[in-house]
Amino acid sequence: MVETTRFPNAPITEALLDIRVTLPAQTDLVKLATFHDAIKQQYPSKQERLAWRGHLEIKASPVPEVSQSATGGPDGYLFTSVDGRQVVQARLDGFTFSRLKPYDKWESLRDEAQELWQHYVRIASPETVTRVALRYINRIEIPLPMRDFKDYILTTPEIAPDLPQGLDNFFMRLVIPDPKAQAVAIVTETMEPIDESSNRLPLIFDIDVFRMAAFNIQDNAMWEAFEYLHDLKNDIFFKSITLKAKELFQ
Amino acid sequence: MSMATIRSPQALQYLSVVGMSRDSQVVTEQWLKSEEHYWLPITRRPQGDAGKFQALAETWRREVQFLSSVTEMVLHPAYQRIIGMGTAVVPHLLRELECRPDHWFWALTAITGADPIKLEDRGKLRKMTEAWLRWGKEQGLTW
Repeated sequence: MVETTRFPNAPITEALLDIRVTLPAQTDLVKLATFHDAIKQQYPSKQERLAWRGHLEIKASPVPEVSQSATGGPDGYLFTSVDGRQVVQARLDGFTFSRLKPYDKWESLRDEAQELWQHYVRIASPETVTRVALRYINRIEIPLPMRDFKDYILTTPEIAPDLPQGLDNFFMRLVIPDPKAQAVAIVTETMEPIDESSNRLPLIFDIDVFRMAAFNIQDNAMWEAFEYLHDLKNDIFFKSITLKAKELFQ
Repeated sequence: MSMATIRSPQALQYLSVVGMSRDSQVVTEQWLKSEEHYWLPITRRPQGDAGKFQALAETWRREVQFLSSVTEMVLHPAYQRIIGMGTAVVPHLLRELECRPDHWFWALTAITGADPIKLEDRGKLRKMTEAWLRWGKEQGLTW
């Protein structure tokens, strides 16, 4: 396993733990809303979640026919903590716990998620877990002038050396299977415009790791899978950043 | 008869479901930009203000390169058409000014009604450029 470090100024802007489930037919939004009763003190704010999906069809005929439709509506609730740093989602398709910056440590995230998950299980009575996922979004603010992205991060888009090396924008998505952990990692990198006040280039380094598998609700195997996913996430992060990047997080 | 069905990709739906932070929105927005390029490559887009401006600016540069009179330069039809594009062209003018300082000051004043150049700086291309770029930032413009 890769050697990890806890940084005082960690670049994580969001860490989230996501569990997809199948619910019995009798679990509806009314029942999900009662999730709030158990967590109201720590998560006083409640919002309905809306999910919409659009569909557009164009039939090629002498006069093109266009038809569109949208399906969706409320699919769950968002509950936010007093300081706005933690958000839990109870949905008809699953459960998500997000921790926004500042990030503390994996154990705190996992323990809080575990406790909230128990409430979700009690109220929603999921039949089975179908997917577990962890997502860590990092924002690495690279000081300018910069010679090469590789001074900070080793997984980056590469331009042929004989071409101009300037880059206005990029979006890179890598899907990396890990057969050992029976997991898949989706690594996404992109950038935002240079922040002129600080003269830094914000690089977003998003690591999304998941395992598709059926877990029994009360089985500890799901939480063991999360430990594997967390190791995989750490592997990707720590093997991708350079010493120079680590100095930014001190 | 053929039929095209456009729907958002699965992974995008997944992204929109889980992220709560501003940076998760940045990732989604950048994804959408990339996807937009897939559906509508730049070569198939109607020419917008940026393209129109670049074409006119290129014509103007080419045709006034041997003129020494600024008055003649600004009366050139391409320059006048740029002024005719109105306020939408101001960020493009400022970007052009920043990259390749040239006599765009007359057009900027004609369009905006502003004149941020100090009397003592008139005729000094670098100082005049700096004054207009500063003005653009003060107006909250990005280019």
